[in-house]
Amino acid sequence: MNRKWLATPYLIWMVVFIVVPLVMIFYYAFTVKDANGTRFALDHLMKSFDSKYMVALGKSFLYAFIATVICLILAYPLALILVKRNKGGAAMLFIFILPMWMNFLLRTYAWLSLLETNNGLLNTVLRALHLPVLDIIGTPKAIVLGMVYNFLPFMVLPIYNALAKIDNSIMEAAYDLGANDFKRLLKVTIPLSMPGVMSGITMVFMPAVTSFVIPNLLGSGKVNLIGNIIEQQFLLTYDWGFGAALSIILMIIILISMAIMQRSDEDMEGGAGLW
Amino acid sequence: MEKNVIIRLENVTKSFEDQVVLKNITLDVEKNEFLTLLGPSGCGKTTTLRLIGGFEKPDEGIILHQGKDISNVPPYKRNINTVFQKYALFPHLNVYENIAFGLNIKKMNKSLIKEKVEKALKQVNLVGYENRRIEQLSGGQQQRVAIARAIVNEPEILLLDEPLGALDLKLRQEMQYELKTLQKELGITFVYVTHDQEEALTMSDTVVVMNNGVIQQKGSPEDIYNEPVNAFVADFIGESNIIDGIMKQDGVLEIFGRIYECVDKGFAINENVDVVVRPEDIKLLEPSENKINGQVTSCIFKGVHYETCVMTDGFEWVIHNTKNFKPGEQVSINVDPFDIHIMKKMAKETEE
Repeated sequence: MNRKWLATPYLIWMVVFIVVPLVMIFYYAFTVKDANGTRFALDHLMKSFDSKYMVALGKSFLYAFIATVICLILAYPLALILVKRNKGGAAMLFIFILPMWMNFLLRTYAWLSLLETNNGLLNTVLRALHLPVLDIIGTPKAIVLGMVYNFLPFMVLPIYNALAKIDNSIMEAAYDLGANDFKRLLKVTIPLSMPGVMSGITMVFMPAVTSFVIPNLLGSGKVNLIGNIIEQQFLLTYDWGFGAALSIILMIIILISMAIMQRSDEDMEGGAGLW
Repeated sequence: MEKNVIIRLENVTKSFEDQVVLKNITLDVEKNEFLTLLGPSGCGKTTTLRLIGGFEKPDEGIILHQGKDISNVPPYKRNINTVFQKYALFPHLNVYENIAFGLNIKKMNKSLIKEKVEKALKQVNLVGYENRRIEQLSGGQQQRVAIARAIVNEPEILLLDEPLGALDLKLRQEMQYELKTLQKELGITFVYVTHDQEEALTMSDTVVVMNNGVIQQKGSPEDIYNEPVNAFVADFIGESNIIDGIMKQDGVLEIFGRIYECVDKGFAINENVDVVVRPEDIKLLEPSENKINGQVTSCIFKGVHYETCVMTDGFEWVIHNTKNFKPGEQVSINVDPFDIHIMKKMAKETEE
């Protein structure tokens, strides 16, 4: 118990970098400055409910949702293959994670030059093959693609870990009790890997829904998501109060959706998740 | 006799990487018998069980189930169920769901499933535990769930892979008795794997002693104990004194340069043999001429008997007797001729 003091640096860290900023966000969101000084007000919050911003919020959730679903569809079979391959799987997993060593911005810029309508690598190849060119830069498709590419490893890793943890004798027991490969996947493998799936979803959905770099670059600034709007409040219009209010709304909606997901996970499995 | 054979392994060989685990094994399992595969770890007993269960395929040879080759039939198509060493219960399901797993796969009618699960729970004395989560159960209870989960499918053969290994002595003995009763009740074939000779002798109709991927001896527990075919079996089943001897002729044996009478016949003249004497077959008497005389080196109280060690001619005998000797006491070793078991020398095991 005397080792409690070891936690002190982390406590200080948490207060300085998490609690204080949060308090400041709330302060900016719920105050206005005018001739009479600073006072408590709900103006920023009310402004946030303007349909323009709600649409951006809705789009953010929609694209993040689509990206998460695509990640899940790609990652689950991949994780299954990786786990089955034992030694070879570890090497494959390594190759998969390798791009993560590169900076996130660089990777996204790379996609920009790949996808560019006129001079992009992809379209140069397509043109050479006399195929129709892809004009997706600046559209939601490019944004979702960027999200999937950047966040896929965050889906693969937790699922891979959850699958690798399942004892082989449990898999054999399912066989023994008459389950073929498909039934075993459905009744044993998937339920037992749910904690991994849940943390994968969380780890992809959260950065995707708040992303502003990917829509900025791959959306060519034509698609405004909630992340972009918040960014603009802080960096362009200097309306910190409004930016803070939008952040709070985004935060609350994320918390609610995570809570709902956690609840459904507990109903199924009872495993411990992110909170 | 053919009619009763439910599983036959014919000339089965199995290797993992470059290690040969089973060397040309042929084994018949008869219908409704309790057969135990007994041997030290790495002898191939678990591999044999996994071959019957379908979790491994033989490299050579075939496995017959009532005359049909099932070597390549996957486990889920065999009417055989397994109780795994570590129970392998499904952690995401409760007791009821675990037991009902196999029946649900078969898409059985729900009320019939309920009836069968309840019966299985009754058979393993777990009535009232239906809704418990697996991690809330003790080792012994998990074991019972694993057994119920297997027998509820009414398999023709139940495979048990050291199912009692993780339980404490008292519980293990209780479960031995219960398993034997259950096997009689169900009237199905049990193939049981263990390294515990006492477990094997207590429960089995037939014991198969294995070592280094080879079947050493197959027989009833009494046969295996009383008439071991070689020094390995004698040593593995209960304690034994194994001495080098020379058969001078039928019924005449030389140990430590002295001649003794025995009942075994059929060895070559002057053949080197292993002489096996059970510790409980030795009587310790006053030293006298023409006997093996020696000095007591230790005498330990073991409950039912004393374990006395006596040193003679550079060999330490282990003797079970009921009298407390003092270390240093002079005694003589006395064995009745029919308690002297003569065995052919085992093939050299230099590769180890």
